[in-house]
Parts: sequence; structure tokens; C-alpha cells
Amino acid sequence: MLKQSGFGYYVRKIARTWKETGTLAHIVHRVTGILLVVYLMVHIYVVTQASLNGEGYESILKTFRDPLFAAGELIMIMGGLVHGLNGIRLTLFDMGIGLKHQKAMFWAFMVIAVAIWFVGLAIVWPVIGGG
Amino acid sequence: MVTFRVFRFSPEKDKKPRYVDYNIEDTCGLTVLDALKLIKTDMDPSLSFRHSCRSAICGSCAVSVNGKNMLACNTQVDALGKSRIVIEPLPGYPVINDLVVDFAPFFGQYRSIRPYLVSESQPPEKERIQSVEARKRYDAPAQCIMCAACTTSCPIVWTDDKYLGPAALTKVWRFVADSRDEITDERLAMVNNEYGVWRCHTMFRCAEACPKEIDTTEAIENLRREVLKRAFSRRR
Amino acid sequence: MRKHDVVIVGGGLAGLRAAIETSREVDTAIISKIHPLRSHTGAAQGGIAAALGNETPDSMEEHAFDTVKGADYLCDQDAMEILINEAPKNIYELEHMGVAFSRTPEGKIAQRAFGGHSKPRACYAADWTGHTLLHTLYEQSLRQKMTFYDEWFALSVALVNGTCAGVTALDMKTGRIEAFSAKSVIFTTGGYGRAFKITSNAAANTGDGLGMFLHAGLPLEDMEFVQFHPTGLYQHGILVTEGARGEGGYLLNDKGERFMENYAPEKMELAPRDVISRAMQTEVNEGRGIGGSDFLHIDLRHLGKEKILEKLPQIHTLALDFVGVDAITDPVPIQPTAHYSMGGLPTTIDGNVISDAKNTPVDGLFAAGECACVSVHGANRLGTNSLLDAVVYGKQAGIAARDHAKGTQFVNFPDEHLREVESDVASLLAADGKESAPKLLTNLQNAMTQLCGIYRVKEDLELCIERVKDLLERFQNIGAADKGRIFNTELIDTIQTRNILEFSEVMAVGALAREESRGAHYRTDFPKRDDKDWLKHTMAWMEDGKIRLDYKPVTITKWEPQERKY
Repeated sequence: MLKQSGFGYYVRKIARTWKETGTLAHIVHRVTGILLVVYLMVHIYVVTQASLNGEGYESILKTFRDPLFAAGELIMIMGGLVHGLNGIRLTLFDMGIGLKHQKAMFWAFMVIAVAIWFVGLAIVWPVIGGG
Repeated sequence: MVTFRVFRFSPEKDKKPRYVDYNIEDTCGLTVLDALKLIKTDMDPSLSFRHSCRSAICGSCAVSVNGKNMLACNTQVDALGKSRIVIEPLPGYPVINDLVVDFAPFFGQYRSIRPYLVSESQPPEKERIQSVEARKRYDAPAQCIMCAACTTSCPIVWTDDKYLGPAALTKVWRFVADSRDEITDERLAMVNNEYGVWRCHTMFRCAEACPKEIDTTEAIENLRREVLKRAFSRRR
Repeated sequence: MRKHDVVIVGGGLAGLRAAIETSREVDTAIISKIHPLRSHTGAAQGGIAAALGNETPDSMEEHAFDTVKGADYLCDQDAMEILINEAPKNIYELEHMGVAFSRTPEGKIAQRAFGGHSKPRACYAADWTGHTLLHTLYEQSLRQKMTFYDEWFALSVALVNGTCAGVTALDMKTGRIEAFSAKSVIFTTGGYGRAFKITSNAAANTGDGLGMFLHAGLPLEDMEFVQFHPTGLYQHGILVTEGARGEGGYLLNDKGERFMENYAPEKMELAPRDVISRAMQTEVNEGRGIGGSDFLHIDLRHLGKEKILEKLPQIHTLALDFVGVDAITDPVPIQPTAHYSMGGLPTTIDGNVISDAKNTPVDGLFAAGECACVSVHGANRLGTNSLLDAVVYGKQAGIAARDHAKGTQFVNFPDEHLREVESDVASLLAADGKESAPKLLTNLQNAMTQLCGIYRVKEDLELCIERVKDLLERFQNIGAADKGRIFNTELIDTIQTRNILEFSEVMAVGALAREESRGAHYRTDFPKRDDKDWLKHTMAWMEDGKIRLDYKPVTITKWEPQERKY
């Protein structure tokens, strides 16, 4: 018999049907989840540096003011918003709310994510050099 | 003209699957199953696939059509609106021959959840009384035809053979929702673990694949809430 | 060699019901060429009959009389009485097992009107009654200890000096053929509707049990009686339940007339199926088909959206998916479709198979369900009596087979029998002739539909027999494109086609011999029922490639034949 399972199979198969809203939400949720974990680790590293030696902390702070890094920060905000709001969406399903409207709910939450993100942009803008 | 790109795998000859193109000139009124039968009778008699009732009730002919699981028998070719249609076996389970997959894992999970009504109390002489509303509660899950379109559409099933999967979980819900069944606690305990309801990622692929329009995702969510309700009420 | 006390061939309703009975006490195995949940029982829609009286007062006497009259007096009344009297008890048992019956406002099992029944006595689960019965019985069978041989194709039954020694079967997954030694064998292999072009039957309904019996030198009974269901979806034959008319649907011709008032003024759309199918064929023959074509309409619109979606959800989807018609807003095109086989493997009232017109039982061999002919349906079955037949006689046969197995020893399975079967299959696999099974089958289906269908006449039947013989001849020149052993569906199709060809000849020969019109068998050259000469069952054997006929008297207990009017 020909095997049809395993992680490689999963990646190949899901790559063909990623456009389905529920599947897309799942992929986005996983990717943002991983990103947030990485970000959290960086954050912990920075805080650790700060408490251990002041010099290293200063140089790290400098990189923070780098526009490129600020742009990355914006992406992180987006990731957090998407992950958090989709998390709320999934929790609502667990409460039995909105199961019949899962697609609309995903896109609605994404619109909310973008809206909040713009607020974030307004805050970060001066840092990148806008002000 | 529609080109059917069909997944072929002859276990006695092939090491890897092949894809073979078959052209059908006139597909008006043809279902995917009709097309497969036409290919078998007119083009290649060695093509193997399962089918029987051709009216969407026996659950034999679920296949993957352009990457989505559906019954071949109730899918009109023209309604797919494509000039090239890729037909593959259901994903996730081992292929025996061409479009025929091995359902042993599927029925194994099904058998593991005690898929039958359990009522140890002495039944009345006549029928048990059940209200119209109580009957309605399990109306949808009781219509499951066990075609495996849902379970094999679930990516978790592809990577974790211990996960019960939507079909088995929907079957659990069918009995939990039936007022006549007397082992609700046992059933909920059975699914209250990492291979039961909590393994579901709520991607809705199963519900979308169901040819009988049973909301399998909702069934899993219902079970989750029942599990939590019981857990909290016991604590109080 | 595998050994089980009881081997059941066929995993549909009758087989599962029998297995639940046998496996309580003896080692039981079910051999099924498709997974039991794929059985055609699941396609039964409208209901299962029992005089429960949940909707209006009802009695077993009325149910019995309706059945005898529906059968056009050809049923064996002792067998039929068991069916009717056991019905309520069996329905309650099914409910206790978990069948999802629809309910009345008081919470009892809901019942609806059905053709030929004078009272609403079809216990139903919307329009998927067969599905819930099949799934529930399979589920309950999993509670008991029994061995399932899913996707094993039974090939033959082995008799030793008139005693059943077991069967042989092909494991489709490996292509290996094995012998099954058994003390009792129960055949529950289902109907033979696939002999016709337009049929409500599944691809699996190829009457394999009948083929195996003919090869074993055993007789078939009343094979000429094939029921045509009035309402099959146009060009597909897919069933539109009689429940659709039970709920109040109309049959309309091209002029929009409810034409049944010309044929059965009292019962109208709820006359028995043979009467309505003939009426429809007459309408079409006389040019009143829709647009002069060969179909008519079933109109459900006046039932309203809510009732259609609640009581007939499957019909609504099937019409949408297959003929593109929304039953809520448009009438659905329909035509008669070959539906049920009244004939089959002759048995006693215990389900024990008999070998001649004198009711001599075959030791250790049993049959039940559509493949069997007890005979409870006579010349025409009433709707909802078939599920009942499968349940009641499945149980009867199970009990008889179990008791037989408890009181007997295994008969040595004859090795040469297994070798014969193996070489037969090997020769089919090696065959390189020009003919292909699907093409022969299509030819046969056309011949049977045109020449041995709703209306029959001597000349047509003679031509039909000639055609079938010709096809049997051509079968000798069959070729196999797929030489593989693993899940070779071409091989299965070939064996099934041979089975169909063989029993189809029996059907046509029996129909030609029966010079009368009774129930589903209508001869335009003999339009009257003839109780003097033909109130008897046909028995047919295949001997050296020829069909031999004999006749068996009908058992009459209470109901003497009367004129049949609706």
C-alpha cells in the first residue's frame, strides 16, 4: 500500500488548499504563533541584557531606533493582532457562537486587526523618523 | 471537452503514483462517478474505484476532486466549471489500488468509541417515548454515511493517526445528543483528551467536505461544551 | 481454510439481523463484498411497516389482508402471517437498539401512509429509514463477538451430498481465494435490479447469491416477478420514495391531470406499485408523457417548503443534484424504475433453503431478505414490507441457523471444490477474448428493459431469451485487461455480469411460461389473472446450461383469492 501521511505530506497537501478561509485562518494562526514566540524570546533576551550590563543594553536600544527594525515591529504588532483576534474567534466557536459564519468572522476580525494596526502605526511613526 | 487527470497506482507494478489524462468530449449531465465509469468501460478497464448506490447514501465513492473531498456520485462535472479535473484518492489513508484507499484506520477509530446506543435499563414493552425536540437534537449527526470525506480532509488526521477525527467524534455526539443513551459520562470522558475533542483546530475543513451537509465542526464544539459543563457541574 | 459455526453471506439488513441472533451463542462470520455500511438497505427511504396504530387505529388483520391483496394472492399466507404478527415486536426491538425513528407529537414512532396499505403504518425516519436501520444494526452488531470479512467477494456455495459444507470467497484486498467451512450458511445477498437499465438498485445489486445457487444445482423461485417502482428520477432511476405520495404528492401527465383517477379511482396515487407503474407506462405509450416524452411528473409543490424539507429532505437534494429540479418550486420528472425482486432463493418459514417443489430442506443452508423468496410478497410487494421482511426473516433465519449449528458437526469442506473455483477465477483473469463485461451487461440491461419489463408479450420474451443466450455465448469470449490480483474491480464486474446473465435467463423463461397477468408480471397477450392454472410458484433450475421449470402450490390459510381492485 502507498502511504499518504506524515509532515511532508501535510505540507504538500495543505499548500494546495490554503485558500479555504478556515484553512487560511489556521495557517495564519500557526505562523503568527511561531513569530510571537520568537519575538518573545528576543524580548526576554533584551530585558536580560539590560539587567546584566548597561553597555550592551545601550547598543541594543540603538538598533531599536533603526527604521528597519521599527518596520519589523509593525509586522509584529500585526502578528499579535491577527493571532489574538483569531484566538477570540476560535474561543467564540468553543462557546457555540458564530459557527455558521466562520468565514465572515475571520475577515471581520482581520479588518479590525488592520484598523488597530493603523493606530499602532500612528504611534510608531515618529520613531521611524516621521517626526 | 474535459480532461480528467486521474491518480493511478497499481500495487503490483508501481512504486510511485502516476497521473493519467483521459478526455471526455461531452460531459453534459455527467457526474464525476459517471465519468469514472465511462473511463473504466471505454478507456481503461483496469481503473479501480469504489462505488455502489450512486445516490449519495452508501458512502462508497468519496474521492478528492481538484483537492477537495466529495462524493463522486452527486457531483456534476459541469458544475465544477473546470476544463481539467484532478481526481485522487481520499488523502491521509494508504492507497490499495488507484482510487481505493484502506479504511482500516477510519473504522478502527469508529469502533473504538463504542458507536452504538447503550441503554442498560429495562426498555418498556413498546417504544421509548422521545419528544420531537429530543429527536431533532441528533437528527443531523444520525444522517452521517461514514464516507470519510470529513476525516480524511482533516490535516491533523494526516499527521496524527491517534486523533479520533471528525467522523468518529460526530458519532460520539450523535449518541450524547440522543436522550435514550445512558453512558454520556463515559462517552465524554472518552473524548476529553488530547486525541479527542481537544485535538481539533477548528479549520472547518470537515464540515465543508461533508456531502450530507452535517456540521461536524459544530458537533465537536458541542462535545467540548458538554465536557466542560460536566466538569464544572461536578466541581460545584 | 477458515472455520466458523455460522457464515453469513451479505452484510445488509437481513444479514446483520441474522448475525445479531447467531453471534449470541455461536461463532459467526459475515462475508460482504462491500463494507456492510455500504449495503443497499441504506437507500430504503420511506419506512418499515407494522400495525402499531400510532397515528390511527390499525390491526394486524388489516395489514395482512393488504399484503395478500397487494401480492395478488401469490404469497404463502403462513409465511406472510408470521411477517405481520412479528412486525410490532420487531419494530419496538429496533427502537430499543437505537433506530432514529421520527416521532409523533406524543413522542411515539411516527407512521405515514403508503401505497396499498389501508392505514398509515409505515414507521419512518424522515426519508432515510433504511439508512438508520442499517447503521443501527451494524452498530449493535459491533457490540457482539463476530468476525467481519469486509470486501470479500463470495464465489460459490459447496454442497456435499445435499448438505451445505460452506462457501468460497475472494479477498479483494489480496486476491486470494479461501474456503469457509461452516455448519450453517445464511445467504442475504440482496436483490437483482441491476439486470435492468433503469433501476433504483445500487451497482452492487447483482444477485450474486442467485448465480451461486444456480451453479450449485439449487432452484430459484418466482424469478419473473420484478417490481417496477413508479417514481424513479428520470434517466437515473434513483428512488423517489413512495412516502412522497404518502405525504400527499400528486402524479401528473402532460395535461397536468392526476391520471391515476382513471386507473385506481379510490386509492389514486396510493395504489400498489404494479398498478401505478402500468398506468404510467400506459400514459407514456398513449402519448401523454411530459412533452410527448417518456417521463411524467410527481408534484410536491402544494406540500410547501417546510413539509418537504422536514419529511422529504433527501428527495429534495436528490432531485436538485441529479435532475436539477427544486421540488419546492417545480414538479420532478420521474419514470418507473426496476426496484425489487419478489423472487429468489426458495425457503421454508424458518428461512431454511429448499431444493425442490416438495419443500425438501437443504441441510445447513438458509436465506433471508430480498435474495430469498419465502414467499411473503407474492407477485407484488407492498412498500415498507421489504425492510420488515429483512428484519423478521433475518431474525428467523438467524435463529434457525444458530440452532442448526448447535446440533451438528462440521462437514468436511471438499478440497476439489476450492480448486475448481480457483481455476475458474484464474481462467477469467487469464482470458484474452474480445468481449468486455460492462458492454455485455449494457446489452443485457437494454434487452431486459425493452423485452421483459413492465408489459410483456410472448414474442418479446422469446426474443429476450434469444438475446440472453447470445450474450451468454459471447461471455465465453470475455477478455481481462487487468491481470492484477489486488482490488481488481474488473474481475469482480466480470463475475457479477456472469451471475446476472445466468439468472436473467431464468427470469425471461419463467415470464414466458407464466401465461397470465398477476401482480408485477403483466402479459399483454394474457391480461387476466388465472387462478385455475397459475396460482402456483415457479421453481427453476439450471441443468447443463438449460433452464428446467417446475411449480409449487401456494399456501392459503384465511384469504381466498378475490378480484383485485383499488
